Amino acid sequence: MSGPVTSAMPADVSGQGIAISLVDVRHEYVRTRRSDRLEALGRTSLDIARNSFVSFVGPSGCGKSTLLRIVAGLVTPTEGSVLVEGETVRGPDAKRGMVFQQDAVFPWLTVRRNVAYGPRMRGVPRRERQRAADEWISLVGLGAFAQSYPKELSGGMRKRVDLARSYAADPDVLLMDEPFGALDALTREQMQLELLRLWEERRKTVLFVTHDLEEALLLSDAVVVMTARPSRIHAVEINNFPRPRRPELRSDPAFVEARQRLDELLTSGSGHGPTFTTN
Amino acid sequence: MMTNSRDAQPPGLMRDEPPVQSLQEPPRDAAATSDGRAGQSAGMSGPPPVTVVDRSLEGVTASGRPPRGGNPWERLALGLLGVAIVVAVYTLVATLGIKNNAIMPTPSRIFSTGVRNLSNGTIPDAIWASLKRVLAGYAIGSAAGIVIGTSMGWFKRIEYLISPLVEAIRPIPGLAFVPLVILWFGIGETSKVIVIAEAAFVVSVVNARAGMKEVANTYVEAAETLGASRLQVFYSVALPCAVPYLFAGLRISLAVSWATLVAAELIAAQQGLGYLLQEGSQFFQTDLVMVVIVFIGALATVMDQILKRIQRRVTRWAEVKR
Repeated sequence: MSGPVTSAMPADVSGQGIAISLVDVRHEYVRTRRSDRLEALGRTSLDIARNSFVSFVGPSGCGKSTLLRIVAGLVTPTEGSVLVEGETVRGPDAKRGMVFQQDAVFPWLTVRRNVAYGPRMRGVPRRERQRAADEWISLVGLGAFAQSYPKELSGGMRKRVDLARSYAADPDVLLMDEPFGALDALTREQMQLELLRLWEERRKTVLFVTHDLEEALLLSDAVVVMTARPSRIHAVEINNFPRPRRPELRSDPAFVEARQRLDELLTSGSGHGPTFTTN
Repeated sequence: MMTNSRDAQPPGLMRDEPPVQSLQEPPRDAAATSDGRAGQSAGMSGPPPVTVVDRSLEGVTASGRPPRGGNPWERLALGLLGVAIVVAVYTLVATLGIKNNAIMPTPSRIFSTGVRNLSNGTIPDAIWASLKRVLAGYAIGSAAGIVIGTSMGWFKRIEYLISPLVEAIRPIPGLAFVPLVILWFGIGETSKVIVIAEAAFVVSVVNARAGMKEVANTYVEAAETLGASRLQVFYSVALPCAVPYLFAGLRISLAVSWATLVAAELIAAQQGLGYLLQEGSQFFQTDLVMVVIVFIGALATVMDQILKRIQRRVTRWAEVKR
């Protein structure tokens, strides 16, 4: 694949307009030790519909995480710009929440104070932010653990805290960088359903990077398949399974077929054979 | 009941097996197994895959290794034995070999000197005089060190501004400043407090700065994407992250403060533990010298233990299990 690829999500994905626009975004990392540059993300343009759930899949080491970090404002792209809700991204902001693969729950704060962290930074009065935090804590099923410290929770529970904390900061868009990648298979499935439920109840624009094709298909409205480095958009699969979705969807013939198609797209997009494997 | 699986299997075989929980939990939690009993640390995600209910396995971790602490009684007994051997050898040399109380006083003589100097107020007065100096110098030095060190570690411009100064005074032993400080401030209390504060400052500034550099990037980025400003990240994320480092610095600088105090008092003082040492040495009161040495050690230990307690309190969130 060569030349810039411009993809626009069909408006019918959510029918609510565009939330995120990537305009000719390109990124190179400078490798100081070898004093050369590594193009992580080839020139990419993409529009993402408001309140849609969009997954990014691609070979390991392709620029999907870079793309997400650019949208978050944690990385400044070498070229191009990102517009989120009409504003150009210039650095991290509460409007663009992020959930990381690593455990990012603050171990020195209780669950409640973790979830209330975003509002606290915004200067929301104590009582108000605690009420908001408690609501989110019970929404992710951790009501009994509001006063616990993260050390006392399992990995899956900490991920719930992380989700609740991101939601409680009330961002315009939520960016998730392989959020369940470090969890065991069973917990991961539970968390996928948890996120599915949460998102279907409280719609938000979500960009979701994953290695797990089933995860991508189960959760998203559209799956963006990226090529190997320098990463570009290889294909965009619109994913119209009706909502609310149930875990049984995984065994639906149409789902299995869609998964196969994604697999083939990945293989053709990775350039040098099937380097991509799924669990 | 099951048989003791330690007997059923060669221990080496068990040691090679990873803790059962490591498949389910991220590495953070896996650390819990090194302290806990087998099967107790499977977290909240359900019962552990293997639960061994066997009294004989108490104190054995999932990895088959004996717990790190060992048997506390065995530890205490051997520790006392070590001390007893040294005291016995000393007593033998002092009573059978040297036979000169001015050079090597017998333990009983040291003990009675200690009791006498405690009850006549000599030692309490000296302790009080020294303690005031140490606490004043230590408090000033480490507070300044933490404030400046954390700011340096977090704000690049402050680092650029201050680090040449810190690097310049860092290699200089605190005592090298004593003559200069005496020239400027005389031989009063101020001089000693300044010298101690300088020594404490250098240690804690370095540790505080190092602590800020170790703050996990994930926490910083999480805070930033939750809307925290650079200053907010500093006090709400970087400072709590650095607390273990700050305490390490506090404990080292306490030890350094004591060392500096005694040395400073040896050079110029009319009271205090260092002065008492000096006096004992000049008048051949070896027993007094030894008593003072013991008290210096005891005081430093007590203060370190107090700090340790505070540290444990403040970093309770980092403890593995309740």
